[in-house]
Amino acid sequence: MSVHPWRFWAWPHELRRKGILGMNRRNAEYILAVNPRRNFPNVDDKVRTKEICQACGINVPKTYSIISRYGDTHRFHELVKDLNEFVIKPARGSGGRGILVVACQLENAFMTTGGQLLTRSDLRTHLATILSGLFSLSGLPDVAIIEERIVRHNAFDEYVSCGTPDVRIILYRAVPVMAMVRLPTKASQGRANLHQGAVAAALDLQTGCAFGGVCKNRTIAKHPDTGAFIQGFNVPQWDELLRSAMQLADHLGMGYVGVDFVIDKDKGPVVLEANARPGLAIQVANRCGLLNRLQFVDRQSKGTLPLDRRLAMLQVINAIDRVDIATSGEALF
Amino acid sequence: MRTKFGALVVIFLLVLAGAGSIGLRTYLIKQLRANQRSTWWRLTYRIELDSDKAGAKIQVAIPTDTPHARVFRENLSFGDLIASRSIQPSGTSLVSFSTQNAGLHFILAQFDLELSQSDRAPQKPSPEKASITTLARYLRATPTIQTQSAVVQETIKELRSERVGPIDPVQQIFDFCSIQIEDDVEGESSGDAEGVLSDMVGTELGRAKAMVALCRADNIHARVVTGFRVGQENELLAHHWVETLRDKIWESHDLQSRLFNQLPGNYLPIRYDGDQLVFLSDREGAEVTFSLSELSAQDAASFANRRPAQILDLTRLPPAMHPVLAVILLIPLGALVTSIFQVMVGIRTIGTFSPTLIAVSFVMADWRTGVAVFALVIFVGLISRALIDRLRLLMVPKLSFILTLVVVILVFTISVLDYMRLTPSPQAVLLPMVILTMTIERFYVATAEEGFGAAFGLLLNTILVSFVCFLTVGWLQVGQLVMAYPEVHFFTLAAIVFVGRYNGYRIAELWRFRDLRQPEVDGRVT
Repeated sequence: MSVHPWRFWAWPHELRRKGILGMNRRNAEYILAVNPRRNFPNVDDKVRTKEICQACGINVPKTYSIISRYGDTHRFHELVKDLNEFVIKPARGSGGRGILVVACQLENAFMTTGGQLLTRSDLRTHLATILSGLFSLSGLPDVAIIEERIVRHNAFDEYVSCGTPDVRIILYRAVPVMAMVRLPTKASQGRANLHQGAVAAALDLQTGCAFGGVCKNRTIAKHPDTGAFIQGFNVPQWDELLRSAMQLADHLGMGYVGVDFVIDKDKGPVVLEANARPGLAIQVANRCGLLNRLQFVDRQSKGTLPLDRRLAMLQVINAIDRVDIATSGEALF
Repeated sequence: MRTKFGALVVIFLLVLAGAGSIGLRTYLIKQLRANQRSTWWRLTYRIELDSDKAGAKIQVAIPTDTPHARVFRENLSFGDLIASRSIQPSGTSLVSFSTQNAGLHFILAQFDLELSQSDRAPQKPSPEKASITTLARYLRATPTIQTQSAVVQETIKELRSERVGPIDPVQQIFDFCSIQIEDDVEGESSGDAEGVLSDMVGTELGRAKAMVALCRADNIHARVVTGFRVGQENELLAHHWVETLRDKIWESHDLQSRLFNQLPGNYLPIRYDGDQLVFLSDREGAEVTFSLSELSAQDAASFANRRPAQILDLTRLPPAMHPVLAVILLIPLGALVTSIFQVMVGIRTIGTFSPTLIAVSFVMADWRTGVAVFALVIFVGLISRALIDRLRLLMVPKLSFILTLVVVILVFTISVLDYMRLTPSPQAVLLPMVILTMTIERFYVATAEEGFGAAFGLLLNTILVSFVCFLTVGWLQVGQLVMAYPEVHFFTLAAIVFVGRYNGYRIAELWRFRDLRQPEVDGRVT
């Protein structure tokens, strides 16, 4: 039973005690402090993020084409005529806005993963809308990326009925501090979007094993569509994913960053995008705050630590929400 | 830590700047209000001097600053004459001209004056600091002020005998001269004190001399003052009045107007203890005319009243500009309210500053008309947006299409309201049309991407923030305050810096993270 079941809010001191990071503090003390403005394009522009990933040998979805001019939208059919399934996304989009996943190509139409039938003209209009910047972070003209559709790993089959789950890792000074897996639901229309009703499950940073789940800000144990127990689910190829995230964070030049992965059936962990302003819902999924973990990393080093040392820190970071090691003030590594 | 300290210093400096500026403006407004009651005049002396030899001298008494008058410009034109300035012990400012050759000489002297007509108490005259020798002049007898003559002595003796109880001798003499001595309008009577008191009739100057003579005979320092009564444009004659010394302060009395002790601000004294403004050393012929013309406030302002500090006075701008300025000045307050909602409350709106602009437009328009037009534009705009979706227009043409619709709907809604005699405000057209267009487009896209519930929530948030902005910027006293004291925005800036440095939880987060406030308990995880 809750101590105050009638109270539908938390007092600030209660959140502080739990180490919950608020939006203002995130912006002022982390994003503004450790994310240099000049490096924002590395994460805001998916084309550039992909180039960085490829330079590091990190898997990314294969790019079929990049459309940057309105004139090119007329060549769209020619560009995708040999593709059965593909994804159209804005290079500077955020929050999944403007992403269209085509599951199969029919004679004169395209079917999305949501079962919607779209004509060529519809897709050309969507491309033109992307180019005009409607989905762009800054509202400036954008470019559209046509890339391969990731086929989700078999490990997710018993957990989700539609859509592709993704994994988000928050890294601070290139050290993973918190992770979650987002499982699409029918309510979220196959999207891994928590606002729309996708399930978020906290991940153990060492093992990639899920514990607990949250849907629409409420704790759940089973996936609402499949009824599968979320606790105990293991993200496949977790070690590879973890190393890729740290490697990417090293090269993005951003101190506080969220990296989104999907696990492809064949390629394994594939970077979808990086985010310089990752949301705070990950705290709700993990049932604990980020603040103590971030402060713990700060106490270890203000610079970049070697990869193996960062991996070794995960054991402590994992325990921070259970044992208040972070407040001890001692540098452990 | 250093940044936090820096922000506190900036806030402190901004508050200090705001308080200082408001204090300064309060002072300036007082000054400006006083000046608003000023009039500006040009006093002109035209002198023709016909001299038959070199070295002839002419002395001209010129105006100087007084508690009511300020000479802000003078222009002397005197050809080949030699000029020199001096100030008499009485305080009269004189310019002496001497000729270098015989013949006709012209002197043109122009003095531009600012005459204060303010209600405030005039500046107190400075105490007389003249030496005993100088003061003795104001008790002496002169050829026209015969203090020792029998008629003067007899008259003052008679007046003294009438003093029963606490009677002010100056007032008594003033009453006697102004009431008992008949005013000689024709100017045929004697011009000296003795003659006036003998005949009991006198000109303005004669009566003034009679009063001075009686005062001096009664051992009261007194002098004749010559100057002008400023107030009507035309050629004018010099006017004469009397000053008496009491407790080292000169008191002015005008017998002709029967004004005792205090004269209005339009009395411009020029020569003290003398009855001529222009006087010659010899018997050369001179023709002197004085004229007065009023300067327009604009002319005068170009050189008399223009001060850099006026730039800060927005109320001096043409009244037609005031509503626009008021709106512009209210926008920062709306922006502050929006910042508070975004940073401290945590409410998302459609467009960062849309609520501010919508609120400001409601303040300008009648709010009922504004709300009606706003609701209709959004409603019809959304339906139209859904319909044109089928046209698959590119983004910018699509927005242009919606903007055109918004304009047409806006205009015809006003027309309909007028037809229904609902007296629409013509200011309703000031609704930010581009903002409404973007609101419609973003609402439509949000509906498609996040669902109608989320999009409607965003719209409600926008309306809520707009409403609070409206209450703030529509507060009449706030509008008047900001217009009169734009420096209030130093406080607005300080508040924005404070809000910008706030890194505590947003109110919305207290609800969002409510489940994290305590450890997991049995039964919660279903």
